[in-house]
Amino acid sequence: MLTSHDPPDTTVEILTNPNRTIRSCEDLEIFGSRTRTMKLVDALQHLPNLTPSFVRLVSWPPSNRQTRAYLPLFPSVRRLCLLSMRPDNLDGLLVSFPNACEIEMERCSVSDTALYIGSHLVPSLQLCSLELVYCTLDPLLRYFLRRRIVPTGHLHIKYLSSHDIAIVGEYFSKLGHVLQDVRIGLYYDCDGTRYPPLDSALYF
Amino acid sequence: MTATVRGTRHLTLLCIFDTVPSDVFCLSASLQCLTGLQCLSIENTGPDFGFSRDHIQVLASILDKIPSLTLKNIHFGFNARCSTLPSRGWHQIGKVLQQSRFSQLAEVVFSFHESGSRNGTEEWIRSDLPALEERGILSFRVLPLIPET
Repeated sequence: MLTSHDPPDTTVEILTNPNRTIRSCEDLEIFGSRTRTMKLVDALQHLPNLTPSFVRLVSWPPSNRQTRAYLPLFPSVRRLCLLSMRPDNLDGLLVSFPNACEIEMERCSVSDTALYIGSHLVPSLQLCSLELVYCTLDPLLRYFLRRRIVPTGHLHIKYLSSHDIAIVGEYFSKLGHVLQDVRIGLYYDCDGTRYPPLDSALYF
Repeated sequence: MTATVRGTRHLTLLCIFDTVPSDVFCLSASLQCLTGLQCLSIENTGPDFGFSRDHIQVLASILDKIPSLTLKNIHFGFNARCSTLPSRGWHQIGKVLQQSRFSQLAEVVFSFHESGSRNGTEEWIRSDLPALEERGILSFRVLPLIPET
């Protein structure tokens, strides 16, 4: 497992060092940095021989045109984990992982502009598992809905907020007939209320 | 000829039972669209707060909204000592499940944590769900004791 807990400059130095001894890597974890993103992306270009099957991007900053252009292709990645991210172009990110069949997103959200824009460059992902934990689902789930990305195996929504029930309903109404295994966990909303309150449950 | 069922096989709702998904949740989340549902699991992941007859009513209202024609297994998981579960009111679940649309149902499982009165709890539930008991599809799983806090 290769991980970049170190400051970005150190990570870049390690990755670009011609004398580095990294020969293979199955799990690659990269902590992003708002100020050093380009350096990190550039460093990834120096890892052409690594074929990780699992990539975790942590706190990766919103991409811009440059990072989208330079983020290398990871055809070997089967499992992709995005943690604490708010990508402004999910297409631009996922295009680097064309063979990902398991996607986990934790504490992620997307802006409205990140929604599917019909780019022909983005392959249709064949997911077997999609796990969304502590995510703001609207519009994140809307992205998967518009691209008609349905996990053939397992959909896990953990800590579903009351605000996001409607978009889950929309997803189910359009794609529910295809889903195989659905797991939903409700949680306390930030304001301390829990949804739905028992009285409304009983007397609606 | 083998029938092919396409659609959701397993639906697990993890909830804190004093805020279990209501009718509103079921409708808003369009659970009725999960056609082909074969296994439904409703599990309490919260603390043992005291499950009441009112909560049983909520469970019944969820079952009333769930697609049922292909449903074979239902699991109710209580993160509670069996002695804290209500002694009556389970018939509200039975009233829903005895409808003909649940005729494919092959197993209804209750799981809860061990305590001194396990047999009594089972008896209460069995006696409140005679139709399911008669079909021989009721079963119980006892989990290890919850440590005293």
